[in-house]
Amino acid sequence: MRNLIIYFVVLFGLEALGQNKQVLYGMYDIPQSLILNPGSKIPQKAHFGIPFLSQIHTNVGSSGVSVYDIFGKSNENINTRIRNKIFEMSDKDFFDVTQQMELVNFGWLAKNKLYYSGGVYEEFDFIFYFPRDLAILAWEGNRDYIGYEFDLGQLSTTGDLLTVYHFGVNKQLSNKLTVGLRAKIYSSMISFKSTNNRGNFVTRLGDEDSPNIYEHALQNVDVSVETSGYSSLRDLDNSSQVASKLLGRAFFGGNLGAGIDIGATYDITKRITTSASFLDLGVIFHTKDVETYQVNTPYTLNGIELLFPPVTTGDPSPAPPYYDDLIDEIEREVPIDTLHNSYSQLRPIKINASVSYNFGRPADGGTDCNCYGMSGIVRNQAIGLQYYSIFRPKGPQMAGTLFYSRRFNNFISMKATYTVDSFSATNFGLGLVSDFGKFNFYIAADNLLKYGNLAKAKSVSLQLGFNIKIDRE
Amino acid sequence: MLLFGSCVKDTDFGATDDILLSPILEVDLVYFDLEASDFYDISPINGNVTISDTTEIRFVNASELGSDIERIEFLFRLENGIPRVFDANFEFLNEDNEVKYEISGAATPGTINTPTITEITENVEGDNLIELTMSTKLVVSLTMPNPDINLSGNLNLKSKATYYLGFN
Repeated sequence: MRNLIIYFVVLFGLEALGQNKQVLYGMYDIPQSLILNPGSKIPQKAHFGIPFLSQIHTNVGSSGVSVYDIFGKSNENINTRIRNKIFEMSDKDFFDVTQQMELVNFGWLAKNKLYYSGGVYEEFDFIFYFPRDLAILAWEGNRDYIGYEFDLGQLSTTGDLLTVYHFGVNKQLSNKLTVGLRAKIYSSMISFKSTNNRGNFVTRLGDEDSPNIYEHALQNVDVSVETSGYSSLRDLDNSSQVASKLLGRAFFGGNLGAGIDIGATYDITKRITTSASFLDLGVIFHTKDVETYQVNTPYTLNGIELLFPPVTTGDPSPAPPYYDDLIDEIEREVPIDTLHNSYSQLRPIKINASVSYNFGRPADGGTDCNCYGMSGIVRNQAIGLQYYSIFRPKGPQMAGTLFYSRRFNNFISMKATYTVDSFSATNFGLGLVSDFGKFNFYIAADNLLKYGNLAKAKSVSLQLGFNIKIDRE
Repeated sequence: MLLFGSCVKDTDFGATDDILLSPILEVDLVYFDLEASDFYDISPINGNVTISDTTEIRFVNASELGSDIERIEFLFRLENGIPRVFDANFEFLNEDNEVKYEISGAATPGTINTPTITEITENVEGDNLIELTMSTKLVVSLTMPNPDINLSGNLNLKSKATYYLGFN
């Protein structure tokens, strides 16, 4: 159990909305901004991501606890700190890990003025909501909670490892409006989901008619875990076999799904621009290698009833196997059903939106021109607001970002962000993009104030990548 | 994780050794509800009749919970509606049927309308706990003097254990 606590706190003890890339969004100099808004403005004529290096994104976060909260030097006993955190956190707090890696990314401006783009990326996404009641039960036991119904519905988690194949088109419809659409095919390598659970566990005092002092009861229980791609891995002997199997699924061998991204950018005036995108409006159909484990039976445990053999018979036969009978009864009355029904899973929809005010000198350094052939006049500085939300099992998680971006010259531009969400009001981020000839490099990170001591951070998010970019004439 | 390792300060991961999960669990044990006729014996020994029953109780055994039990409190509550005193004996045996721990008490006589309540409590820790956690079986014996076919009433038992656990 101690190792479990350390695992969660250290690995996940870092606050963020897993896939929010607030620094990258709207940074037109990075081709990957197109991934976040297929209707983004596109300054380049073509781009090619360096395979496996064009975007590496990692985010580790926890909404309720930092490493420092537990392991910071303090005179307070560590067990007291853990207990205080358990009671301080709610079942809406979560631990999440998101990792994305682009394998291939490319795009080009066709003669018909459509910008086509495509690519493949791998994504791992895991979220685990803090089951507060069960944590209290594990930490405190039930003695001080007689009659309290521990909520099993707080159990909520999803995890996905998938490959995404995408191809999209972007078109500047007018000097003011750019729109884009991207089609996606998902190939799920492994997936699990346990959401919409319900029920409770209670230890209550029995009344006069109860056979024993307490009743330990599972009530209104309906708990399930849907898995796909897991059962066939269970019997494999070693990690190389598992890796080989997963790799096969990465290339259309897994459970398939489809989705779209849509987006647009609109210049309201010469200086005010707004944009929005909806990502992963899609579904994965889990039909192969599917197993669902389900418990939905009420049960009450009263202990072991002794029947006593009749005294007059002098029966030498052994006592009934009460204990084994009890175990059998529990297994019979609370069966874990294994189902093989197909199921579909909606992808977590992400929404980005922004409004910016552009100012400063024209971005190409000289004239008040229609720079880069893009719609509107691009200034070298902008300030604005962004909105982000992602639909998670317990509802949408939202974030608001205030940003300032600046192009210093033709080689370097930057963007600074200040993000507020339900859990943090001190998240500053920074992104830098450099263009040396056709070579484009970018790096973006948030929670910079915490980098001095990551133990105090509740999240770390990092994106970096390399591209070849061919500018427009 | 490289960033993580290089920038983490003012922490004491050595404190992990001090993490102690110490839940206190309330768990039902055995129960029964016997009638006076269950104690009738035409040939009592020394005027007494003894009945007993045995069950496995692996949940007090060290191999099931390791050395994570720090203390156990037992409560045996006897409700006696039979006008006889009952000696109740709870023996914890190991696999070789050796008695490793024993708890006993007496239920005072009662009547159908005014049953008596007798609570036997036992706190087990230290060396006694080591002995107790070697056991795998519980034998419950009840001895009643002067069995009589005309006796009526019930004797019932409710019991629980409070486990003080310590995982580290």
